[in-house]
Amino acid sequence: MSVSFHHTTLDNGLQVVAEVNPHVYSVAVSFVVRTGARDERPEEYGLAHFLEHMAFKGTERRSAEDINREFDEIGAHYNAATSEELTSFYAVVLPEFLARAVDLLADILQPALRPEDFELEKQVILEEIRMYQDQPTWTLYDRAIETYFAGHDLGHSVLGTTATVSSLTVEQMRAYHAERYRAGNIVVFATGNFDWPELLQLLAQHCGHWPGGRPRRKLTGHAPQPLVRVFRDDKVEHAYLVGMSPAPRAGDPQALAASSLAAAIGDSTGSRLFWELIDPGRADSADYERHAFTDTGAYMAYLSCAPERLQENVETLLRVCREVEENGIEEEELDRVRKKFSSQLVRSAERPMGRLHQIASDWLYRGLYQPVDAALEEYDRIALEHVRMLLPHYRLVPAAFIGLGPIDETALQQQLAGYRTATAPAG
Amino acid sequence: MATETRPLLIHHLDNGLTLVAEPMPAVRSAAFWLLLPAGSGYDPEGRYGAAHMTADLIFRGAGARDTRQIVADLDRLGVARSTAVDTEFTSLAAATLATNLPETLSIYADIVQRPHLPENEVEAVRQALLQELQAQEEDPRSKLFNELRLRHWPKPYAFPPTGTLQTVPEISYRDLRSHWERRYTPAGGVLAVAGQFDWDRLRRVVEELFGSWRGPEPAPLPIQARGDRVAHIELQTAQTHIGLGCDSVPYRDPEFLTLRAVLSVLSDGSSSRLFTELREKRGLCYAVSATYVGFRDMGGIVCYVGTTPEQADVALELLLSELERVGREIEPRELERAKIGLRSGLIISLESTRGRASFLARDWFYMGRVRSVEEILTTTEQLTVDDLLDFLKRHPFTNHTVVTIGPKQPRLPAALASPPPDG
Repeated sequence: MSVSFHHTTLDNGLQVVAEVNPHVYSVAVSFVVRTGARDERPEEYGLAHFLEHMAFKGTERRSAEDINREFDEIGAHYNAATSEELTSFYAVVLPEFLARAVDLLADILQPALRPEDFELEKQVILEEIRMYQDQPTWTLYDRAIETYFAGHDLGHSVLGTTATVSSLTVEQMRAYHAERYRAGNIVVFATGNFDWPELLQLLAQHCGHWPGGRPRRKLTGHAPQPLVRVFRDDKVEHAYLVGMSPAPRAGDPQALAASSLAAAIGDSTGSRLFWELIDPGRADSADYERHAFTDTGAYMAYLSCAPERLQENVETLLRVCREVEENGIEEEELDRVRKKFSSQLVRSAERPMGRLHQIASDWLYRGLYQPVDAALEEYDRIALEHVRMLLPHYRLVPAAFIGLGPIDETALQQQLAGYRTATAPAG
Repeated sequence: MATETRPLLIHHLDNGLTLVAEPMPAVRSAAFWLLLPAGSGYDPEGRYGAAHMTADLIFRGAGARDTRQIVADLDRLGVARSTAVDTEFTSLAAATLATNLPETLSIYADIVQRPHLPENEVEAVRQALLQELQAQEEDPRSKLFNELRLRHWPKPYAFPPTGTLQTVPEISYRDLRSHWERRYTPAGGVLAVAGQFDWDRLRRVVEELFGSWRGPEPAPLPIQARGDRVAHIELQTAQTHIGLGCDSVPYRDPEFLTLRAVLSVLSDGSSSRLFTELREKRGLCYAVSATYVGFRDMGGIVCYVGTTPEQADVALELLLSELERVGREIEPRELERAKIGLRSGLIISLESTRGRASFLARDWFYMGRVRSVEEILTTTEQLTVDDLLDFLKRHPFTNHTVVTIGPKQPRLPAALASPPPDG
């Protein structure tokens, strides 16, 4: 027996995408709803994430206690996650528990939303917000997204704020659920050791009656303005800085070239920033990544260091980005990235949950399925030529800088202004 | 299927290093863990962090390669890697495509046996570590775990292997060199490999690469007394972070799996005691947990809860009462859930070559043997509620260490207000 791919759409529009692999010991199932923080109105900030929590607080057939107990009775590794664009509910179980896992996951996607559970869970979310407030890296990420994407639907924290979450109502949540959790907006992914006909039969039984339809999502491009913003917090004595600029969106044909370029500049070992900042001990973190959404993307540089080293480190970051903008990267650097991506792909594909992430990302953003070997070939085909073609279209020097800690905003502004005048834009 | 018998392959080298390997024919990758008894427990007094800095320095040139060549080659081989230092060992872990395993092993053989240890890179290593420690200082949760460790365990176990902002500046090049010379030794070490490989070839490669390595038997760690066990660190944080430590059995204790089941009742999954009582019923927190921490001859549990400062008294009181209640009453259904959770958790964690190699290394290092999956599953399956309660009578979760971080110290129960004597 070997690995096989299956795909179907139920009458109500629910899509099912699966890869069966008889050689592994578990099965991973995920219900992904194409909804997230960007589908909230300003007064609803935090609603998508709150709803994800409420899914576990009870359905018509089950109390919160039942749900928690039943997931544990089948030894499921399960959780849920909400991002700007997606809300997903997943479980990894031993094959004998597939039927119960699908029953549970399908059931919690239709939560009862009882007012008393709603008020109690609100307290948990407020604790979650406070927990992240105590972590500078998370605080900065939220401030960066808010500042860089200001005015765009992506420009607010997934968790919402203490103020918005406190004033959310069950009625708002019911309306959001009725609109967003329709079958046409949901994809079920399954990977690992299971029987395809059995999965289909389970989904028909548990989800066949869900209302169909696919809600719209507003998509808009994004043209960020150059800016420098520093946030202060009395507890924070270290310096944290994010730099952002536009990058290819998710599913863009140039996406892989862009991610390779970002990794050559700033992945965790062997990249340019690694040699300039990490190896010599000038910073404790320095990386460069591409973040991608449906309609836009962003390169994100991240720097964490002692405040007295910040100016010099920013200078280095700017220089590295400019050098790559002007001269591109070397074949050796691209090859390093290609090999890393390939090894990472093979190793994470060996576990059903790792494979599920790969399949979901291909399906949701590119509308395709690729076996592991096809994905490996795709990595092999990335050439310097692709990277070169990309360079004139996306600047690598960050347009916006958002900092947290004892950082002099004016000095940083002057440093960047000086840099921008000294170097004319490449494209 | 999950419990099919897999051959465990063992090869003893003359120098005391043991190769332990388990083939996984259906995968294309291979992973290894090289665990050497070169822990931070040997750090000289006041210069804690030396072992941690040594583990960074050995990668800066080794054998015929300089730093750049090591990084370039490991990246070219697609090696995902991590190095960790704990009180009793330094571990070097790597995972890669199966075809690249021998070459990766040869680079690591140089790194541990023939590092250049360049003196002019010590400052880079130190500065990187100091900045990392400063960042950790500002994450209340990491700070809490460090402060708890410092108070809960006797020296040298008490010291965070990373050292502290005070001790790292005191470390000299001599300390690093001497740590490598005296403690990087094959005796008592284990090289655990899991994934796709040919056993005869692997054994030959390992003999060639590590067979001529010589070094002394590791010296036992001197264990000293514990310090104060209750502390509050005042910080204007959004939450009050509560950490609590209790003594229990070490990993190699025959009853470790009983303790593991108790912890599962307390803290695994959403129907566990702590999650249900503190989060689900009362909305006191987002994160609450009880986890195992263990060494060769000591073990214990560490609990965490983060909550609004106004609710910290209630959260701490509840945490303590749940630790007491679990010793009095456990429902058979709770134990059943724990058993299923432990079974699926074990099987799922062993699906990756990395997870399996780490399991082999840890078992061998702590127990001198590797338990089979069947043995663990059977022992767990046979546990009864009475086994758990009886275990907790003999090893109750008492004699607490309590460390809190936040705007105000939570109210401590009378028994804790006067610190317990050293246990």
